Amino acid sequence: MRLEATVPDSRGSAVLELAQQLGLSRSQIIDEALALFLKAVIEIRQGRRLMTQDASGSQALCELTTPTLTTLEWALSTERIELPDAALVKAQELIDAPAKPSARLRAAAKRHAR
Amino acid sequence: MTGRSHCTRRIGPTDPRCGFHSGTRPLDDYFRRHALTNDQGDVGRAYVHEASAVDQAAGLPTVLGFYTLSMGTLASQDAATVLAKRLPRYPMPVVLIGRLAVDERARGRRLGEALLLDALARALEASSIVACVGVLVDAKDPSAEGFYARYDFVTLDDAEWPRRMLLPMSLVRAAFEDG
Repeated sequence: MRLEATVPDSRGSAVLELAQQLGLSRSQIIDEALALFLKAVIEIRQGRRLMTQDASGSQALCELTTPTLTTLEWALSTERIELPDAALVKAQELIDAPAKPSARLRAAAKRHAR
Repeated sequence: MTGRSHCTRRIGPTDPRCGFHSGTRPLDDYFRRHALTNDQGDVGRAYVHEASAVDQAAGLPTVLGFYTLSMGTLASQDAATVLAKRLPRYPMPVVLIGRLAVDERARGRRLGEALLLDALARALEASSIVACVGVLVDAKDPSAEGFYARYDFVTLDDAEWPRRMLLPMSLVRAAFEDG
């Protein structure tokens, strides 16, 4: 499969430099990077964090993360909110048949997006 | 992708000591004592609205408002009734806006709206990688309930305070797409 992506110039340059240093193709570098990211997502989803450790194991662990992994980790930490049955039914109805956004909310979203 | 106010950012180490004062003691205490540690402990993300250089020169604190986000699931108080009635069988994931406050010296600038819309934009962004059916708030008093109702939140249970209010994620998405 062929994938295309737009990345910052600095990242692209780093990939080219790394490919030369390691004697790998760009596709091999990107494939390895994707494999690592997919593994990271699996680990975070299982409630684990990614750490790096020095060879001796004597120094402090260093967490390895990205904005997406942080968001994912945060989003998986949940609080259980118990509602009376009538409130739960109302929530389900709102979700199943949501109203259209009001003019006020649309206008506020537009202001925010500017 | 939704836009985002350039003035709103994650809470930083010096923010709790900036002199933020909403006039509501529990919110001020939370901001001063717990917002940063809860953020660092991944219990609740805290975002602050930073004052401009002009505001800071005029003596306003560096933080003019804040809100917190976390994830929750809506479930029945009585699991046994779920099967008997037409209730959802699985807990429904939601984004929680735990606290939202504006410094009393910055009132009248629509910062409450700016903070709420920033929170909704972040919730919408999060919903692209983690499923959630809506955004939930607890309105502490009639004034807060009126504020959230103006932005389409619906009260789920009007029998007690705080009022639990929900805004479906599909409605948030539609608002930003229309905007």
